[in-house]
Amino acid sequence: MSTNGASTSDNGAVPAKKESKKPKYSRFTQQELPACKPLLTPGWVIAIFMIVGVVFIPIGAVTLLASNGVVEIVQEYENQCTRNFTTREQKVSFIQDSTAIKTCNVQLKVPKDMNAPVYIYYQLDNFYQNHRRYVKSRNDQQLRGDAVNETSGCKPEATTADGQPIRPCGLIAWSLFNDTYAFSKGVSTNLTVNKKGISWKSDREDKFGAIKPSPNYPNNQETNTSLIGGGRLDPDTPLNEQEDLIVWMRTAALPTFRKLYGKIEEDLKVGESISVRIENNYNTYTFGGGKKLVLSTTSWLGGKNSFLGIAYLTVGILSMFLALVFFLVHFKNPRPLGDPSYLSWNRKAHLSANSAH
Amino acid sequence: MRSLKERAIKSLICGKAVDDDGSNSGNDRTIHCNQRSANAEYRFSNNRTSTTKYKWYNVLPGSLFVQYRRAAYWYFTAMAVLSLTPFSPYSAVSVVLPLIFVLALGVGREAWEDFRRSKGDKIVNSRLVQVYIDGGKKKPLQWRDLQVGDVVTVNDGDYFPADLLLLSSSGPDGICYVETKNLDGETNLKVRQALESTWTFKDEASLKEFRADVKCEGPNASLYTFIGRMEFDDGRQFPLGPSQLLLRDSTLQNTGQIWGVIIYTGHDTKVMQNSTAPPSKRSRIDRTLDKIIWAMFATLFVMSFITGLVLGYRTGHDGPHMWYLKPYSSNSYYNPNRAVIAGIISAVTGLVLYGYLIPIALYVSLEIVRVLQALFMMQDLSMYDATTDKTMRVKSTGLNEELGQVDTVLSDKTGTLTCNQMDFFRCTIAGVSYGKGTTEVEKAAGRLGVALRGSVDLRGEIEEWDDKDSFACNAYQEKGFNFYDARLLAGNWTGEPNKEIVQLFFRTLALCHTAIPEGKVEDIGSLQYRAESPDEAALVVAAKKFGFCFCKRSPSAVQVREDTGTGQYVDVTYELLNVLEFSSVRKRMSVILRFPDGRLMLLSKGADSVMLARVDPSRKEFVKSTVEHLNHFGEVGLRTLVLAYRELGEEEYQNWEVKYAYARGILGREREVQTEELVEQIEQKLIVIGGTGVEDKLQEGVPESIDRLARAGITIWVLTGDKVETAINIGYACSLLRKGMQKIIISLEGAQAQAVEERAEKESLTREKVNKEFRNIVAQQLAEGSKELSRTKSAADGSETRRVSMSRSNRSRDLVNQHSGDYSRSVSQRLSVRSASDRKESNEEQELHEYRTSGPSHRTENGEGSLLPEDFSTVSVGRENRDHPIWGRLVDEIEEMEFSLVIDGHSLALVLEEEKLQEQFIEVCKKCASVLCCRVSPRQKAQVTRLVRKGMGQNRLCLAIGDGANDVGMIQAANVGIGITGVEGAQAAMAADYAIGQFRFLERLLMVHGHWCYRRISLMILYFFYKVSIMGWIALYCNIFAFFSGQPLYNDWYASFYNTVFTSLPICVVGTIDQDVSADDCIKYSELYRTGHRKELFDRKLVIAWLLNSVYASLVIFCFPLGLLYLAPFRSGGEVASLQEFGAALFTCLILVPNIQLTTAISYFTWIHHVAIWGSIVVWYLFLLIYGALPSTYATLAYKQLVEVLGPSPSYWLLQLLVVIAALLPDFVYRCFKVQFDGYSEMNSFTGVIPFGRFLQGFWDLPLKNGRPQVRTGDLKLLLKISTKESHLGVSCTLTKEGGKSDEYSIRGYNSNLVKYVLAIVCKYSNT
Repeated sequence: MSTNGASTSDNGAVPAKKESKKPKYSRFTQQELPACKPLLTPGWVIAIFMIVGVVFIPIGAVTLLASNGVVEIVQEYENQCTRNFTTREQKVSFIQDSTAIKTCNVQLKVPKDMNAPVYIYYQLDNFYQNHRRYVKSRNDQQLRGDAVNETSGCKPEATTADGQPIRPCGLIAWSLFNDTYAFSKGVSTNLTVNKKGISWKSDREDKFGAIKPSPNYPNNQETNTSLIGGGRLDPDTPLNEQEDLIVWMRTAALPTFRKLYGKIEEDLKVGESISVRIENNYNTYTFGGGKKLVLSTTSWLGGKNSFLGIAYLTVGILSMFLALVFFLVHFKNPRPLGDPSYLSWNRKAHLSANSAH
Repeated sequence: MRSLKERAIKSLICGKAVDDDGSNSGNDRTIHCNQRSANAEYRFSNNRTSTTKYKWYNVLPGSLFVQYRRAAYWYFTAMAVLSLTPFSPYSAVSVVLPLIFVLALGVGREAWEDFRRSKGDKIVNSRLVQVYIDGGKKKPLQWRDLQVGDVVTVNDGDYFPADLLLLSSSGPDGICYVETKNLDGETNLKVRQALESTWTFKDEASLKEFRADVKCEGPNASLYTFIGRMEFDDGRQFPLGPSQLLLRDSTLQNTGQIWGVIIYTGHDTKVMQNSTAPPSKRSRIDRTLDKIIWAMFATLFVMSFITGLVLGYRTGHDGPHMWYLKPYSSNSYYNPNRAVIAGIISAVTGLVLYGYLIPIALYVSLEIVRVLQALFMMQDLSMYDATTDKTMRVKSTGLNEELGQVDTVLSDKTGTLTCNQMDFFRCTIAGVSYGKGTTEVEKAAGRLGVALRGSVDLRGEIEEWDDKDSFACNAYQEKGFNFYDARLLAGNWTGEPNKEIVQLFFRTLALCHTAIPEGKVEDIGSLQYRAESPDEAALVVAAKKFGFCFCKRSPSAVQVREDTGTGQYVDVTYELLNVLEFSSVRKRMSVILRFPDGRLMLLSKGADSVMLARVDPSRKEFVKSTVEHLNHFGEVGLRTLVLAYRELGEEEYQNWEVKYAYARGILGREREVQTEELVEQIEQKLIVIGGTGVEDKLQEGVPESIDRLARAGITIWVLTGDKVETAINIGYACSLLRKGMQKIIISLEGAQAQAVEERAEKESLTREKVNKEFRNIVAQQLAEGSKELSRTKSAADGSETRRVSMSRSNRSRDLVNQHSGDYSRSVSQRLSVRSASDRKESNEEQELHEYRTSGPSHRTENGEGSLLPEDFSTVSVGRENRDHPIWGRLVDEIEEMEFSLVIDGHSLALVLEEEKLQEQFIEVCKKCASVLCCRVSPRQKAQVTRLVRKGMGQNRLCLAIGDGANDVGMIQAANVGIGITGVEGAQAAMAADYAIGQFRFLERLLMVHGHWCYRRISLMILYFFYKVSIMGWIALYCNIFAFFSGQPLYNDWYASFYNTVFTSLPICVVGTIDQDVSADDCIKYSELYRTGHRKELFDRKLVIAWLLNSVYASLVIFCFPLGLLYLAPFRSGGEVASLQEFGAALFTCLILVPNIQLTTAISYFTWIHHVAIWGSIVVWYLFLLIYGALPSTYATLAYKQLVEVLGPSPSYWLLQLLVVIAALLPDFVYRCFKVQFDGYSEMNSFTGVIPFGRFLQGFWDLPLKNGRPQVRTGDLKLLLKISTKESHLGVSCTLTKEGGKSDEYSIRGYNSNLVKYVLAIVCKYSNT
């Protein structure tokens, strides 16, 4: 007995007005919309794989060519520039010794002609810029200049010992990379390093406060730390002009990363010898990270990375191979369209009939 | 429900209530009638009823509680709480918002439903009724203000506002009629009669004086019992019973007005006490979903645990050296001094981070999609019933996909398969059979070529039906009357030889019943009858049509307008002395009348079994022929009754009447025993005058629907109250039993059972012992049945040889146990050969049989050679030598559908009692295509349903369909309950999960909508897990690269919109409107439905496959951007990618791959699909654009991401193309191979390409390759033409032979190979 009995009963008592409840016809409500019903017929299958192959292989070839055209020099220097100290402890104490002279010279050979601009990168290993504690340790409002004394989220690098807000605050800014490189060609021809335009325009113009009425100057940077590492900013240059910082603040996705240091806007010829004077200031020794200096040209696609080309070629060739396989299968074992013996409910019987032979 | 009266009588007991049906619970109430103030102390509940689940103040907590029954919701809430803490890697809003949305949706729905219920309640509660308060003036009151003890008056056609004690009626003798459609679904009227002492209380004046106390039992749910007593102030006491009780929700009919005292109000009323919350059903897929969720939980915890472990270790080990983190200044997280705590926190963070594995959006989407699916079902024009103007209605949307996997249908018969529209169809009077026309059963018999016994006998007597007749017949047809025979109609009966008997027959029809006429007496044509059952009404209508119009009834007289045979009518009044009422035990009813000429007549009608036992042995002139005719009527599916009379001697009657009146006056159970005895005395020495055959018409399209359902592999059980023979015939009529099926009959009507009964009587065995004997018989019959089944099965499974039962007209080897004795013989006789030509075939059949038994050697002796494919002859003969290998080959899975089981109610009751028998029974039933349970009570229906669910196991899914209140139990017990909104009220439809107007809609509901929904929901769940687990794995990879610190490498908002905005719409569209094949093809290729039985679209294997696919895709999605963006600059400007660029590139791939993966999983694209899929992808790019264009305060690091950074870089776009193709490749290759080799096991629209029939024809002519058996067309030289056609019986083939004679061979087979072989053999043997 349903509880609704009482409520339905009044339908019976009062004769409802006769209006047909017949649903209205429409192709939509009757689920008869015109539809495309593609079938994976052998012809289509072969064609699809062929098309993928035909498209992918040329793309692969072109991208691979682009990547191969890029000239890249990678120079590791974390061991060369530590005055032959071998143990980690020695290296760490060397790097933390503020009085030690940390300059070292490195020679690079240009393997191929490198057309300007030649990009200079530094590469760090085992540095977790994507660590959660690290990534969060910044204050965008402060950087933008909206609230210059706002330091929330920046702990433990929010304020100085006496409570003054640090600007830019947070671990990222505090641990700014501070190795420097000076390049010269041959014996003494200096190569100018252009450090302008290495960051994103939107960063310079918006996120680091360019459009604010007053420039956003750094101040109160903590100086006396036992772990010397982080670079210091020029307090007289507004943040949006300190592009090293801007690049650094855009944290890397992976623990091994490169960051743009500058550009040499001069062609480098094959066989030329480049000497680099490195100020080896940055402490990667504590956590055993590597440092590399990278010079690279770019193609229309970017730097030296054959991944895209190889992947495209692999997928393309695989598709061609599959097209061939399906062609052979179809040739050897043609599949009549609409053969009910392939229907799953017929298959069992079909197999047993075959097995009887 | 017939037993109402018996039970009423049983419980009419004076004084203190005796325990009856457990109804007395010791909370008896005393009611001071007509005195409001006196009743106040008892604090009876008021008459306000409420069907709402919640009150305004607890809607929120109540409905939330309902929601939180899902385990996943607790998890989501926990995650939301976590997200408010600093542990969370995501911003709190992005986690909390979706949860609030989901919960709000659920709460909103509950609140809305409740609101609608409360609106309904309000209407009911504010209805008006006339009340005499404290005997005062009559005034209208709202229902809600009524109180116990109030005297109310109710007018004709109105509802009773509460449970009333009938005081008086405007009709004679305090009688009134009530309709209880809303209570028990019965449309017939029931009589209620007030106590004689209260008849006079029917106006203000007399009611003022009315003072009495009613003592009765407390509120209870038993509709058919009521015990109480009325005590007047002057000390008089009268017992009260159900006959004085008028129940709320029933209506007053055919009575001007009644007065009554309110006994139970509001929630104390019987109808409210009866209301039970319908059981909440969950679909199997839902339950599987839970299991998958648990597995995902486990995975999630393992992942989080490892995360915590690794982070803890590394924080302790490497942390001190990571000076750039200032680790020691951290208060808890990542502090190397507290590495353990750091690990634990990180594990908790991991739970949130990888929480995408548990898809909250799936629950929301499923709910929305199911509702949309339901809307589509309800809109389906093919399920709209024009006759009742009812669309199909979905009551619980959670079971849509179950409709696609049903493998057992339990069906009610009357009102479900049949219309419950009884038509008087044939009759036999004085040994002559009257009536023309063919019943459904006869039509089916003709269709199937089954000869019905008795047709031959009657052929001489019944003229062939011709067009002229059907024209004439139309003039006489009326609801309840579908009879035509010129000999009886229009007064022609006066010309019949046994004129007097014919007249008596008509009088019996007009007098022996309890019906009530409705309409004006003057206009006979418009006169209609309200009777206890449609059968009875049909008989009275028939009498009217024959010229004996029953037009008035009073308690003591019946008036009939009789045709004198001359075309003139006279009103004849018969004095009604006694009515010996019908009951299901008695199976007969009688009236005792005094005819105008003074004769005392007992007119009686009843089932042949009980009537024939009471026939006067000396007056048996018409018995033999009547029985013969009635048997024939039964066989053709008619309900039969025997009519008989007895003339009583005055003295004999008076003596009896005294005793009877005395017995009726006895109070208590003794009364029943005594009256029964007396009735038995008088109903003796009957003289048979004839019999009637009433047809219960099949509903439209029933046989076709059942046939297609059977083809779809659905086992159909019919639970009917009919006797075995009628059930079998109806079975044939509605295609439940098919030619060539082997019947296993479990019956206690056979010789052996009779022997036991006789012995029991002789030796006076206890009931227990007899039952034990009976149980043994049933067990034995079951054992034999299963032996026969297993013999067939083992032959089929054990080797390549199989037993064959070929469906030729006469090859119905009924498997009937010897115990059912005579009955079995009659069945096989009935199915014997019909005509000469058939007999010829039977010889061939014999030959075939010999051929079969003697094996291949016989064939070679014949020297017939190689008509058949050569390879057959080399097949070794299996262990059963008599089975020829060819035959074995002919039969494939179709063979398993070749059995049916018929069980009678008595046996069934025994089966239901004992566990061992249940198992045995179910074992047999599992292998049968259809099961007929006869003589089943409503309670047994529910029991059988539960038995089927239990016995068949988790893998089977049973659906119950019915239309009456007696099917409610069955409907609620089944996995899926379907109600037919038929004649018998709305009870079944209300209790059901789906309500349809006609049985035949079931076919469309299951095979089209069920199939679609099953596919849609399956795909939806699989795909959802695919897409969420991709996200989950990627969160893990990111964390690995981020020191397990819990920093996601992508933006929070990307992640929180992933499931809601970027990927959910396409799958919801697919879940709502995807089709593998069109509706027409779903029906045409019924076998498609079996994909649901085989769980082809959703099982553990598929879940694992999709998850593996997601692992692969996630690797591609993560590693390819990594490969591209690692170290080297990705733009010509030398810029390298930071965390933001990596995240955005990764996420672009993450949006593309699942969306495009969906396009490969379906093969049905409407413009809606295109909009949803490509739209989602476009939305992602738009999102990047818009989000990036927001001021950097909001956009943070994603500021100008697409415009400045990613967009101009060709590698970003090349990456997307690469990732999409690479991620989808393996799955796509697999799909291609599957289509090439595995055909259609993943259903697709291939089936629609070439019509099956056309294909088959092509098949015949073409030899096949690749190891498939071939037929050399040259061998079939005798064959001129073979045409195949599809019919509802399968593929049938017509062979046209040289002589031009055409033979139709109906072969139930859908496998073209099978058809071909059968034809080959048929050809060979029909030409030798």
